[in-house]
Amino acid sequence: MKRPPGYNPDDFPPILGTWNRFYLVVLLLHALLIALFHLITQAYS
Amino acid sequence: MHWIDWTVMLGTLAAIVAYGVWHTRHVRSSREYLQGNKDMPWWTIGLSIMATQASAITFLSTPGQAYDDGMRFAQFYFGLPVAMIFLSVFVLPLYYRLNVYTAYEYLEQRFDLRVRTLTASLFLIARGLAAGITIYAPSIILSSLMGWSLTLTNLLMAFLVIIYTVAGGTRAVSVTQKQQMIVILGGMFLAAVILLHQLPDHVGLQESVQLAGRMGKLNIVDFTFDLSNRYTFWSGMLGGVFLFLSYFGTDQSQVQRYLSGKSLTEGRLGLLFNGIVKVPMQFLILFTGILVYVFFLYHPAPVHFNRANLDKVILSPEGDRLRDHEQTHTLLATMRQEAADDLLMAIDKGTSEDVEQARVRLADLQQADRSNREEVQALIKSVAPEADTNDRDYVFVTFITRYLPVGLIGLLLAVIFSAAMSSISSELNALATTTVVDVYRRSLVRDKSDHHYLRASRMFTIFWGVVALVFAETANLFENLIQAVNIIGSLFYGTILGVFLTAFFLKRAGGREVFIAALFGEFVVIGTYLLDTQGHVSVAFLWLNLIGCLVVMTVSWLLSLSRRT
Repeated sequence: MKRPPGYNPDDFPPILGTWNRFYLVVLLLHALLIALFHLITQAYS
Repeated sequence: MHWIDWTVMLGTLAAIVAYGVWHTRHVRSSREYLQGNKDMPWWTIGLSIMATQASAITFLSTPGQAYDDGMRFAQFYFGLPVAMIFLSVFVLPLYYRLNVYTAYEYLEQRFDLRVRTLTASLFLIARGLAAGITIYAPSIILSSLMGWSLTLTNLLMAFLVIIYTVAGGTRAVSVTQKQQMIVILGGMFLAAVILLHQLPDHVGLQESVQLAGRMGKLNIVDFTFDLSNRYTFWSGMLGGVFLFLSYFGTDQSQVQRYLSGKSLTEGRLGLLFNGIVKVPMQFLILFTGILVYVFFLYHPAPVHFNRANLDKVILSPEGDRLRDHEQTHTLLATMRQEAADDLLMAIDKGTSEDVEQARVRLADLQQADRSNREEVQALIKSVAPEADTNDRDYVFVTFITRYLPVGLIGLLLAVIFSAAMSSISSELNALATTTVVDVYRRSLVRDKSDHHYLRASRMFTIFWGVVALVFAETANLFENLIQAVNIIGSLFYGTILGVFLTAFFLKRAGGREVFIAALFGEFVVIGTYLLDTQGHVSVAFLWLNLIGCLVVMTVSWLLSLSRRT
């Protein structure tokens, strides 16, 4: 698999094991936040 | 202003400036001055990134925007977490591996000196202009509060920042931003608590949300696809991603923050911390604006929030007409308060028809008040054609100065100043770094001693402070400060991002092709913006980022194809 530029195998996040999992959690949190905002908008529209 | 407020405000600011100077008193080399010691942990980087982006404009304009237009502005930041992840994957590893001072150094390694210098110059223009507005924003508060001249207030603001930025460079910027963020977050939290506390007994948080929601202020997400609508889910997720990729990935004022990290991991965590916290923070600032809206349903708001504009009319022959408008406004305010209570009562005990009836009545009164306020704005224009009649930026500060208790007024003013100083210091630091590293040391004055470049860095920090001051004097020409900053950014960032993305992903594109494409891209972006302002096309400014980026990448790709054939 092609590695991103500057890939360093020793570079790990402090939690969740891999950076890909870390990014996924950030995206999930963001999606939850938007879903919450959408619910608020719908509740009062 | 009470002496206690003066003490709190000046004491807070003086302490931050003194700490910045003292903490960085041993800076002796240009590398230390421009890059820090590269020993920052992720939380310092994260706070520093947030403090750089959240200027005084954020705390002045955003609550006013929510007061006037609801919470849809939150969508502007929807693309930010995606951009943070993209940068963490593709850009940070590259910058850390090459150990660069600036983002533009990489472009010479990838293309040639022309592309590096052109891109650095676009950054210097965009950031130099924006720095002027960053100084102007808090200055209008002081000049409006105390009748000081705007020039003098601008000078004072810039002087405070220049002291510690010139003394300690990047490190001084980062260490003071931690203190500034603590003051900012603490002050805003207290303001929200006081707002809730000063509402009538029967109006709590739940009732405030009900009222604001029924009046269409909780319009946070809009999924309609409309190019002319500035704030939708799509403009935030598409245009916004490109704006934030460009801002955080190629704007030296941000790049410098995460390049000061002690490792790639700390840099990434700092960026992702910003990605997680930024949207909720903007939501809370907007929500403070919503509380201000409910507050002014129950407390007398001025017919126009910029007191200086009203004074001009009062002193003119049109003074009597203004008094008529103020009487109408007072009458409407009383009726609005009753209508708001009726709406709350209907929500609590009535049928859906009762709620709708009460909502329509309150909306009609709001519309009548809006028309009255627009007539006052027209009156101001007739008396003082040069006056800026948009009073959105004065809404929150009016609440601060009129309704906060002694001591907290000083703290909230310190919040606004701290926010301004944290952004200005990053900007001046980045402008000086780019000027020295990408232009002065690279092309103009080479092979001098390190002491020479350290001195030059300090001199260029002062130089950019003066340039920003000059632009600050013209900032009152813009309709809305926060939009002005974003429009200026959107005019240049798309092209800059296009150059960087071409560097990352179009491996066959060379320096000559990218240089021509960047010039052409900038021409298209400015042309589109001008056509929009003349009414020939309708393109919201966020899309300029996407347009600029795509034009640069497409033209680079086509030119590289033609070269090969």
